[in-house]
Amino acid sequence: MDTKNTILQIENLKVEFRVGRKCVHAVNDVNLTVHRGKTLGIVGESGCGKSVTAHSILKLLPQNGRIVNGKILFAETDGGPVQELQSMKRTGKEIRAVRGQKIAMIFQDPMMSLNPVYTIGSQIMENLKLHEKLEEKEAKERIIRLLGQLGIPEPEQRYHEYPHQFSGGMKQRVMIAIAMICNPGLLIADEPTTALDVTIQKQILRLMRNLRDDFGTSVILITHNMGIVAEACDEVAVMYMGRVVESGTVRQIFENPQHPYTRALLRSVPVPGMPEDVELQSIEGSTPDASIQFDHCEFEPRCEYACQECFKGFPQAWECEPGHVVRCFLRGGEES
Amino acid sequence: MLEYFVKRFLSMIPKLLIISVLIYFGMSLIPVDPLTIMMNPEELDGLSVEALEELREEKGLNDPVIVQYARWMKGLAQGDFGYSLTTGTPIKELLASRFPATLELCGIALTLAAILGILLGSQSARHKNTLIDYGNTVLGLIGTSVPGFFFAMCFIMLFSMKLGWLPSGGRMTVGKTAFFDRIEYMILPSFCMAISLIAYLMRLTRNSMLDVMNKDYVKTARAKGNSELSIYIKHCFRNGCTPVVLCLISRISILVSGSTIIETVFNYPGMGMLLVSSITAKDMPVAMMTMFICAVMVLVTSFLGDIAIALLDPRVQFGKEG
Repeated sequence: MDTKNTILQIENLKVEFRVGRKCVHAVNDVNLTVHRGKTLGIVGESGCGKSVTAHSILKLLPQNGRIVNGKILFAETDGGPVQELQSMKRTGKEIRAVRGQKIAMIFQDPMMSLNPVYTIGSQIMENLKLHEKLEEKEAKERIIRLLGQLGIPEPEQRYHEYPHQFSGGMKQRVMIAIAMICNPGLLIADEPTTALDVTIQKQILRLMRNLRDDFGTSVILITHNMGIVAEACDEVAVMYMGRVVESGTVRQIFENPQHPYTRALLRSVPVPGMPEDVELQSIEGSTPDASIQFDHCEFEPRCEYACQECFKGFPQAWECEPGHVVRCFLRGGEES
Repeated sequence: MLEYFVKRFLSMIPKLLIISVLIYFGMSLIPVDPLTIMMNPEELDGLSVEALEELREEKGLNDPVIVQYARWMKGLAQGDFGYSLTTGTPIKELLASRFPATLELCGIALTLAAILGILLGSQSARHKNTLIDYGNTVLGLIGTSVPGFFFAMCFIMLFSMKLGWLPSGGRMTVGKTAFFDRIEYMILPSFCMAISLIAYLMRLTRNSMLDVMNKDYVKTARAKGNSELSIYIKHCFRNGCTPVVLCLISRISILVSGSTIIETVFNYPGMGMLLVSSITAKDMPVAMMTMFICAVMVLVTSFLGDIAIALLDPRVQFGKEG
């Protein structure tokens, strides 16, 4: 793995869930690369495996979920040691040293993600104390400074307040503070703006972009919103049914989408300045049950370009231009 | 914070007044000469009708009801609870001899219930849907559904009569009054009292913990790199213990009132048995005073519960104000 440009590399990741007697293949053969100092967006509809992918990086999967195959390689620094996260024990010391310090994570709902009985100061302090030995006073100063940087007014006073005294956007800033206090190399944000209203979404996204620029933190941003991808990401991976169907830079994906699913996704989002009489198109059909195992391309039942070849197996990854990978038999060449 | 406590405390006063009025009128309804309740029966012996009438005037029994009530309340505050109808002893003395016994017994029962209930409940929650959990669930079901006196009788038959390990009743052997000599008398009754509470606390702890363990902030705690044990104690238990603590506090009132059934089965001279025996002997002053004290205790525990909730959950004081 190229530690100079890459901080995290996921190779052929496969995650399974046991649900009763059924086995659900939540993530199949996923390859992702997060470049140093860049933001990778993972998009897809609910249940496509984007959250599971993110959780498996930190081994935060629920008890019934496990990584059955693949590698998750993490290199905190350029030229530093490469850690294999997938082989670490779920509750072991090794992964706990990575969590919170080297890779931090923020979650979808800031209302639920903070413990209501502790002050926000002590919740940030908890993370700092777990990974760094600091004097109480010094630690507190550092936290207050960070809270100020993250746009929380009167941080000295807010330090001693409880989560219920904060608004949703402010809580998400606190979550970001918890994540950023140890200066992690990689920040995983699992739908960080979904539970917030639009104006606050914009602020949080700007904040995360600033973090990337100021601290050089690499970010994985999980979302189902193409608008957020366009605004906040450098690279995108589009997921469908546990597979990455297309990945590339934001420009490549938005200007030259290759996979029918990506195209359909982009057609279903309104764009500023688009003609008023154009109807937004929805994707026909619904996502199949995740416990069904396909023997050919998962998108075939909903694909408007499906042909004979699509039933023959899974399409291989095909690099249509440098850095732009598609998994589709059409390879961009529509039968038109 | 302080303002909240003061408010809660002051709100107890009207409730206390209502209870005292009810008890007072209950006492006045008893069809006996009030003098017999108010005075030592020995002093009343051999007095003429005129002398009794004079005493009535002197004691203010001909005054308006409000004045009499106020005087009665003043007496209560000074510890003058009146006299027992059947034995003529001051009720204060009766209570003083029974109260420590109950305090001891119920204190042990509560402690036992708290420790076992919380331990078993947490264990069930950590090992959800395993044999341990199922075993605890079955035991819990038995504990809550079978009444305490049934266990009491079974235990007496087994441990006292068959095996002869423990005494079947009473509080102490004559001549042996040290606390350690009394312990063997308390084992069976306190355990019987604790069983249903253990079962209840166990279910409560289990459900409350399971609820908390699925919360997002527990995932946040895990994502910080906490060890499982510290997540369990600092986040799960700290948050999940609120209902458990509340339930325990609400049962503190039994420290004073005792358990009528268990004390009777084990012939244990506590407050519960005092209540039962005074009712069967139609000794109304004793019964009403015992109930009055229990009622006050319930008030006090609900106040303690409010304080505990406010201390455990920072959201509460703000939610209730305004």
